[in-house]
Amino acid sequence: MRAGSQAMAAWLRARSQALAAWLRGDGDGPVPLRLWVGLVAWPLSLFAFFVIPESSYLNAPPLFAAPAASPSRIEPVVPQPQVKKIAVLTLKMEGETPEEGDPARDRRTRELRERVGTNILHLSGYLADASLVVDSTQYPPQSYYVLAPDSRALGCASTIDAPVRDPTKTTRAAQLAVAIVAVEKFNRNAVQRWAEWTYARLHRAVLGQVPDLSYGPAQVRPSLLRHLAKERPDWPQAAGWTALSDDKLLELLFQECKALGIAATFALDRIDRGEADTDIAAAYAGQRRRSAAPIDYAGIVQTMVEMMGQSLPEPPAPTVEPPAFPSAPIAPSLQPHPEESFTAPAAPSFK
Amino acid sequence: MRVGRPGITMDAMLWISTTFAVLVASRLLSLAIPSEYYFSFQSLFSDRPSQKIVLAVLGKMLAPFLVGMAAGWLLDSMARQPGRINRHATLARRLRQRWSPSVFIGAFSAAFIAAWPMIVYWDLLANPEVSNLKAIFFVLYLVYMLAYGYVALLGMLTAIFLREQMEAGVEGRKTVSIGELSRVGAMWLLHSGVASVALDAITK
Repeated sequence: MRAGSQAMAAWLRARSQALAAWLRGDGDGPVPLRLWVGLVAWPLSLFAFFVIPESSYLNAPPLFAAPAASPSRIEPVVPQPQVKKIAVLTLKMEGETPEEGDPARDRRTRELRERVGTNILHLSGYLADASLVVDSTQYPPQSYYVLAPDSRALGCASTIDAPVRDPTKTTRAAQLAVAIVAVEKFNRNAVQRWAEWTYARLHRAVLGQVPDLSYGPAQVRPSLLRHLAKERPDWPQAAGWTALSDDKLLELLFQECKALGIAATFALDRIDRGEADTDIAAAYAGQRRRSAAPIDYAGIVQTMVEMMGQSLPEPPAPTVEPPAFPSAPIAPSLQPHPEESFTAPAAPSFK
Repeated sequence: MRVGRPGITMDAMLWISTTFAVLVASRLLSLAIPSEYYFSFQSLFSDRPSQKIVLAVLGKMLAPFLVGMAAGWLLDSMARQPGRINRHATLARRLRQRWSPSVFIGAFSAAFIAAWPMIVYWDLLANPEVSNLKAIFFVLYLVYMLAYGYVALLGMLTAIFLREQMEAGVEGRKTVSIGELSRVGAMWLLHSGVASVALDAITK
């Protein structure tokens, strides 16, 4: 008993000496205290500097900005009082304030969502053509994407057998389906979908039923198909899903073209009920919490649909420059007179 | 704490301090310098990169250079205090085998940390106009990271060189020579120059 307490006291003494050495920074532990302090203090100081807000002025251009881009000083032609802009700093109001529009923030959010949406559609293989239009006639320059979805994907999503005769609704449903399935394809690669397929088949073989999980490129649950069939008995395509076995439903979900059609049917059902694109996308993905973050699922899907609806600007009408001298009446001969020959005005160039 | 094989060793504290000091200095410079004159790894992905890329890259490289200078000045002054390192050979060996790799890797790590989120989210956030140039951009990133390491090393060697020049009576016993400074400076210029020219060419 006494020997045990002595051993314990010796162990505690040795530990306290090791701790003291570690605190002094000369211990032989794996990570000395000095390094721990550095590892804590440096990140804290770094984050402290990120708390400093970037100053932004309401009516003044950035320092050293080109004067032509955003003039801050108005130089009068005739003698007049000179007007010089004083930089006014924007500060947030304390406490709750009514929602106020911030064009710069909205523009940045839109640009970011357009970029993300374009990348997702591109990587999912649903784009046939894409263009970035930059309008430099305004300050700051405005830019937007014009996307042409792949005709195969859009065709699959457009084959909805439903008694909705409004073409704007069916087109919107098809575009929404392409956007939604593109996001699902981006989030789950082919290997993950193969794993889902294998798991579902094994589950079916062992337990006799297909688990109600999200399957295929569109990530749709079999229960959703049955729900849609129940909700829309007058839609021939949707009504047909009730008669299908689990195996047939599974096969349907793993066919990309059919999956696009299913997503479009879901979208059309909601569009027909008067729901907005963001609400439909959120309902499809089961998004419960909506956010105003730039990279938000529903917002990006809505932006993708908008980009598919954009069109390229019309090229400017070609202007014919007047000849340098009054044009002579057309001579009957096609051979110009050596003394009267002139160079034709250059054709306008389009970029 | 020493990490690594005998010969070349890493000073973990110097490594961490260099990395975070470069990040802090970069943050402060990004607040102070107008965006037109400041290069950021994020701007490679933006639709509107810096208009004056040479000045912007120099502005960006200011942070590791200043941190390297501060590190060199501090280390040299601490090492030359009475009772510390009093042998020229020991100081030179420590500079070559310990401080230089630590500062180089520290600045490289800072550039890597700054670029890492955008590297991970390239597929999602890259400018669609250049998204097909992923491999080229990643190589350029690596070159810029190496340039960061070299410019921090240049700062440290410059500080030690200046301190030695200011000290009288030690002719012929310099730890840092002009030739060494030139070599490191040339490596920095080569890396940042190649990366900037390549970036300018592929984003036109």
